[in-house]
Amino acid sequence: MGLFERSLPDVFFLNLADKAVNWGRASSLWPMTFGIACCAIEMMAVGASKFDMDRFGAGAFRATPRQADLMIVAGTVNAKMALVVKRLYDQMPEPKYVMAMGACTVGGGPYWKHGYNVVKGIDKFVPVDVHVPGCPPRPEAILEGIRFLQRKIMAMRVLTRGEHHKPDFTGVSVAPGTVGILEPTVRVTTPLARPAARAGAHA
Amino acid sequence: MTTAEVFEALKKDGLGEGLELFAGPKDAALVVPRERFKAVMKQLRDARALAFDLLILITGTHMTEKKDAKTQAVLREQHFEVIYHLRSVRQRSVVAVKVKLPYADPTVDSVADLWLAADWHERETFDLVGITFRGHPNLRRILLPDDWIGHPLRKDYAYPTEYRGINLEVDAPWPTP
Repeated sequence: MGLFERSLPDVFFLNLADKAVNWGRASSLWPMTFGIACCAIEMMAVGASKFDMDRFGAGAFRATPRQADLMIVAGTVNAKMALVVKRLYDQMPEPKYVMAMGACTVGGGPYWKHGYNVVKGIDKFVPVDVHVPGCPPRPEAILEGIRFLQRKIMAMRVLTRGEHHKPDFTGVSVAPGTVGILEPTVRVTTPLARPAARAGAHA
Repeated sequence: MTTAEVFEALKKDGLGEGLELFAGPKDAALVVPRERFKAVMKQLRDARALAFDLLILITGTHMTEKKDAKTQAVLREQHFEVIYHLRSVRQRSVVAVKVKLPYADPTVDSVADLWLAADWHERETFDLVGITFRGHPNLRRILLPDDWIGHPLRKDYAYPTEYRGINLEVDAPWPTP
């Protein structure tokens, strides 16, 4: 159950408050200064002046996981590194978001078959909010990933949440032939679910 | 200084016993029996006429068994080879030294006390191919985690399916969020 015993006007008020909280979170995503391999070069390009991630409020790279909201995992994660990535994720305060950037973190990439030491996708050990494919992804793709994450945060319900903190992604289906950012269908299963048309608006 | 000249110089120094000159189509190498390996390497470094003062690289190779297609006769036993490339700055020459090791006991003397560069190279060869270097000061894995099982660059390496709870299988199902 949510924070308060709800009557109808309360729910209306809390929905508005939710929007305000979500707007604040989505507009000030602080990524962690954390690059593993070649994708990090492209991530730096996004942070630099030409593409300027700060336009979307996500340019304040923090040097410690304690101050970061967003972990952009940029580069091949092998088994030895996975333990470190997991520890960094655990050190981040809630709410925290993870972007899997590049083919390696999405599903092993070129090391999928013969990389004896490469984890085939970081979703094997941390929950991933947005996958950005590419080898490496274009800076525009990363910005699109940030925009998608922001839309996802705007759909979160902090004060009116029921048993689920984040949208439920079970039964995620991706349309065949989808290119660019994969946007799974958001299916909200709490009693206070929005109308289906709005919940799946950006699917 | 060619490899053949190095070979002759070593024979003149009384280290020719068991030493072979391998002449490939493009390159040449000295094949040294592993009992005399350390003495030969020391001579290569210290003799004034040779003076191979720089260790460039160490390569470990897993050579699989080779059979004749018709008769099934074994042409080559399964074994390991460790190849050392040495450079002499003074003589302006490079020589390759090769040691063949049996599959059951891939052990060779360490040369980390002759060239400091050999320290990490031998650790890497131990890590990935599983060659044991006798007398190495700190022979443990350098790239893979310490609790890793197996040596990945062996031809008979079985890929891991799991490491500390992380699924490493190729077709692992996506975990439900």
